[in-house]
Amino acid sequence: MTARTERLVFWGAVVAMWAVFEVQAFHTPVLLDDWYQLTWHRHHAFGLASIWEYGHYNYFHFNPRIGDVILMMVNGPRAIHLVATPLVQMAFLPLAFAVIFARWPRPTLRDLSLLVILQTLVWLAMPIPGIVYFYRPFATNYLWAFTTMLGLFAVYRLELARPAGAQRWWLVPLMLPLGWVAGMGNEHTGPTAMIAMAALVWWAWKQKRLRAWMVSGLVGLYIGYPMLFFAPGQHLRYAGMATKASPIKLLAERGLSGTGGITIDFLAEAQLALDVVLVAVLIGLARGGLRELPRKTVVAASAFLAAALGMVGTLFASPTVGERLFFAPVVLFCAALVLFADWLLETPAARRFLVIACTLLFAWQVERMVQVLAEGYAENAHRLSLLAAAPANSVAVIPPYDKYKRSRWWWGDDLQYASLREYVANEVYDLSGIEYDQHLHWSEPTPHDHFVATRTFDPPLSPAEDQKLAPRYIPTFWEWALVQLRRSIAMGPIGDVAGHRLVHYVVDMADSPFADPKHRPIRVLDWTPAALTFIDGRMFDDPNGQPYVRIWAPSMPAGPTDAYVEACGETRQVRLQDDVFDHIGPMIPIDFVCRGTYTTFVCQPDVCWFAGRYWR
Amino acid sequence: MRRGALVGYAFAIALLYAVVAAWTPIQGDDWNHWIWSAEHPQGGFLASHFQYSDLVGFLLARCRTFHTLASPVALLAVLTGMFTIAMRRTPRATWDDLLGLALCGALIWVGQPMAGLTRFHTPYAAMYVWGAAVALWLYAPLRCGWDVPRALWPVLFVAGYATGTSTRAIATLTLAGFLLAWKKRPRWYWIALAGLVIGVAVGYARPPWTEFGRVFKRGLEPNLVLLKLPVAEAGKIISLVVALVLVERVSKVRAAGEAPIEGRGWLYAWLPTTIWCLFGPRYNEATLFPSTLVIAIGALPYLLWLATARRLRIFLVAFAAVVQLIAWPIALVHYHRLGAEGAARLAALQAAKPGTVATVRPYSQIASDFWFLGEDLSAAKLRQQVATDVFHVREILLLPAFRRLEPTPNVELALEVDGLSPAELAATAPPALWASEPAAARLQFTAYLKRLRATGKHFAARLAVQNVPWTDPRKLYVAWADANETMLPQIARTNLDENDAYSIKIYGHDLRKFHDAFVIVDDTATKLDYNHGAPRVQPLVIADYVVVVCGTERCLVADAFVPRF
Repeated sequence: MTARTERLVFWGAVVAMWAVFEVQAFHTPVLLDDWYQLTWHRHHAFGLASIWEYGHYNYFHFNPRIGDVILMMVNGPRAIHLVATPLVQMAFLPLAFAVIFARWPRPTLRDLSLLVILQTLVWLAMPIPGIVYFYRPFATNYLWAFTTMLGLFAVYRLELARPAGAQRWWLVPLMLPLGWVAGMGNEHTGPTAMIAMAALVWWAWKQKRLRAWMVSGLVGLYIGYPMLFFAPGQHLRYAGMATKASPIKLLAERGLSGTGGITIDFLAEAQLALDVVLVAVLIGLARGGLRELPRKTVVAASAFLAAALGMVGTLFASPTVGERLFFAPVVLFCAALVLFADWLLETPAARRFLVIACTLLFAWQVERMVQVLAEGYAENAHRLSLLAAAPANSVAVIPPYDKYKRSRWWWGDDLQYASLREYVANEVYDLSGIEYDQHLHWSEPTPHDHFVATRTFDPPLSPAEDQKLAPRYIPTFWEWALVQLRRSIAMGPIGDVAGHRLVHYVVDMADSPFADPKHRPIRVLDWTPAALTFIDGRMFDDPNGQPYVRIWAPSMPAGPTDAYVEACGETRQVRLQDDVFDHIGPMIPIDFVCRGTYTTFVCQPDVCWFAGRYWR
Repeated sequence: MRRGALVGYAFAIALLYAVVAAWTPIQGDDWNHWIWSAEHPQGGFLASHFQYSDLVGFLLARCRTFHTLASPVALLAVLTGMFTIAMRRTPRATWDDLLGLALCGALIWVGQPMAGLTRFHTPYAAMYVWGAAVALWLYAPLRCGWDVPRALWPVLFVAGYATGTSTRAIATLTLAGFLLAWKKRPRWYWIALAGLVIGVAVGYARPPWTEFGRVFKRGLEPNLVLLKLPVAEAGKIISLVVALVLVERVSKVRAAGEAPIEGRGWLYAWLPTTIWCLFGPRYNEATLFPSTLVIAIGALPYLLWLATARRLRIFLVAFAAVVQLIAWPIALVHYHRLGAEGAARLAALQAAKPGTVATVRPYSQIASDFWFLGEDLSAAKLRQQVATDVFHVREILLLPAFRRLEPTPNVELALEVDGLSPAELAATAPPALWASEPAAARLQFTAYLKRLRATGKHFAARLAVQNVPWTDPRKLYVAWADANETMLPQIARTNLDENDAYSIKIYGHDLRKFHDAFVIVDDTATKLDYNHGAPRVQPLVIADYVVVVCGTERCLVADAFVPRF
């Protein structure tokens, strides 16, 4: 093949890939976290002020990652998503290539093969490639974020691989924000990135090749990451999950088996990508054609592997561990594999296998991603039209998605969560509820009770004035009732009432079938400027599958006298049990009598506290 | 010294396995052999069971001493068989061969999903360990080019038959191995092949059938998801080999001679074997044992070649030792505890008075894991069969109850027999207790029918339902047999669908004999859509659900259950 033909094939493949990403961007549905952005755009005109306000609020009260601000933007005017998301997805490959090989890809068949191998292995090794790439909240928080990180490192890698050049002062003001954005990307990638960056800068200094822009990028990263890690929003997000245990405590609690489990989960997922390269090695060996492995390749691969394991290691101390968090380490793991692939391409038999296998796997994965998303998008569009057509304040009835299950390619039916149904109904469509048109095994039932809020101002407001501040609804899930309170305080209306100050905010449960023998009020949360009180109870199954609502011990009210479970029209008094499994706090045992919601209560002499729900 | 080490290793492995085997409780499919024995006090197992895996399963389940003494030999046969096939010779008293044997053991621990359960759960040991043992040693002479003495040819025939009737994956793999060796066939080849072909034919001809329908209906992607596990497990062994090869290539460590080239062939054999395992019947982790052996056999020559380099040898010795030093103590600790629990349960059941309710504790480990099956009596059907047939108690109560425990439905039954005098009826020894779970009761009735038919009289027998509120003029039964028809349909309850509903599926021609369906809950019968023999029930509260299907004259309790949430 001539060089010209190779160029044509290369650029043809680039255009085809862009077209695929463009089709996917066009078919992106509104799912889960996207709904929260729609609410924002419903109340705020899109613009710089709106972006700033959103970022500011998030940093101090919610998700401080830069990816969440980007999410708000790509959920804004559609053109932004259609243009920007495919560009970032396209940029990922050459940036990763530059970091791996310390050069840009050239328009040759060999480099095209390496790019296809890299993309195939990354998709193969990731547990949920379709979701990380095409579900906007994951794409912006993980794909965009790590692509930025690759962009930062690519500049260093390219510079240090070529002969010493000019100072390039113009890079200094650019690298600082790039480093900062990369640092603000993700909690679990930052520490490894900071170590790698320090090593690069130290090496450059030792080689007498240190440039001002290198320090600038480093400073940006070293500012960005601590800003993210210590952001005030981290203490409030997920109802303050990050504050429940320090990283050291989490590490100690997980122990050898817990941390080993995370590592094994990662390796088990990465195994598929590894197998492809291993088979190529075996084929190369059997044909006796493997050249000596260059030491440089081994060193670089070891560095990428160490970085991948470093990021996995950071997850040991993370309060949340999910498949999406494996994206960055998977990319680094595959970077090591692609270095071996580059070596294997020298051997014709191994090259044939690698190129054919990866091309087939690549094509299959693209086909699945395109088809599944197109089908999901059609269902999503139909659902949106049903919700939009429902009369205000009615309960909209919708069919479930055919693709309700989560898979490698698709998130599943997001309205399975009762809290999200309630949120979407009230915040996005001004409905009083959304229900499925049939009983569904996987859908959380809507609770029968509801929450009411009582606001106390100093000096007091008149009932009429107070009524004006009442939100449309109080979420019947304590986490969201809390978010609503915080948002109302930070962004109005209750935080900014001229001449009055909010001094007490109480959320109680109303219309509960709970039959309390003493008829005590049922409190959900109690807020004053000095203290916030609520019971943080969550669903828990013990190793034998026995169900409980487990309460985080520090949130337990003092001197509890009795506890109850209300379900299926009955109220049963139960005894709190010790958490002998993880020592997180007392557990309320659930005894199943029907399918539905099990609501739990812990009572003091004069008040009962809502302690969490379990549903089945 | 070397001979002593080899013998010592073999003895240690055999002893460890024997200890675990002695502690392993009777569980799962073991009970089927106990039930068969209870229903056939006169014996005659061989007359009705023609499959090697059945026979071995029966012996192991019914005679723990045999299991304790013989199964360790089977495991050693697997390890030495793997070595022999991998290296084309039997192990010798050398340090290299001792390492080879130890690596065989370690590779199974590392590469077999749920390796502890596959080795120690008695029904799995009967199918996979014993099946692999005979298959490996049937194939070994062919692989090694041995000339088998004429006196042993009958043994080869029997071994061929045993291999063919072990598991379908083992049988098919061995048959493929024999057919591929067509060109170099020795004189005894035809004898072994004949036994193997007959065995394979018998194995495939008997239910449960190969699950073509289930696998193809699942579609490509779910099957690929299922294949992910064996790919990942085999990947561990391949990773080990390739990592060491890369070390050999990159570092100054050099193995002696050329790398063996046979690994590829085993790799090619591994993929179809693994895919064939999907067809089951009853696909689970243990089913993958033959494909694990294939990949381990392919890896062994590479590993022993790599072990010619001193540093890699040290690593491989450490690997083999560490894996086994970790695995065996864990197995001993697990089975010491769980075996004691199983023994206490068995003693309590054996001590229970007939007709009473026997109370036992559930196993402390309910869920299945790498080592242990978990609680095996959580399903009402098996629990009732074991209770009524084996221990002659009304019910086995597992206390404290646990989430996965399926409560026993309470369908009271009475036997009605026409055409036999009371004395003749007594001579047929009708069961003193009928299971209150319909499927278990139908199995009892099936076994009892054989005794009724043995009388040579014309009779009509019915299993009548006593305590289900039923106002329909058509009589309600769980099973019946008379001159016109025998109503013992195969009925299965599907898994819960996305609407929290079960379908009660009636299989075979019997489904055409009914046209109405009802569900009875809390004394109230509600009509269901018969749905071509698959009425659908949506149990949303915990209660007794009785599903009834009716023909023109009679109604049948198709299923009864208490849902688990």
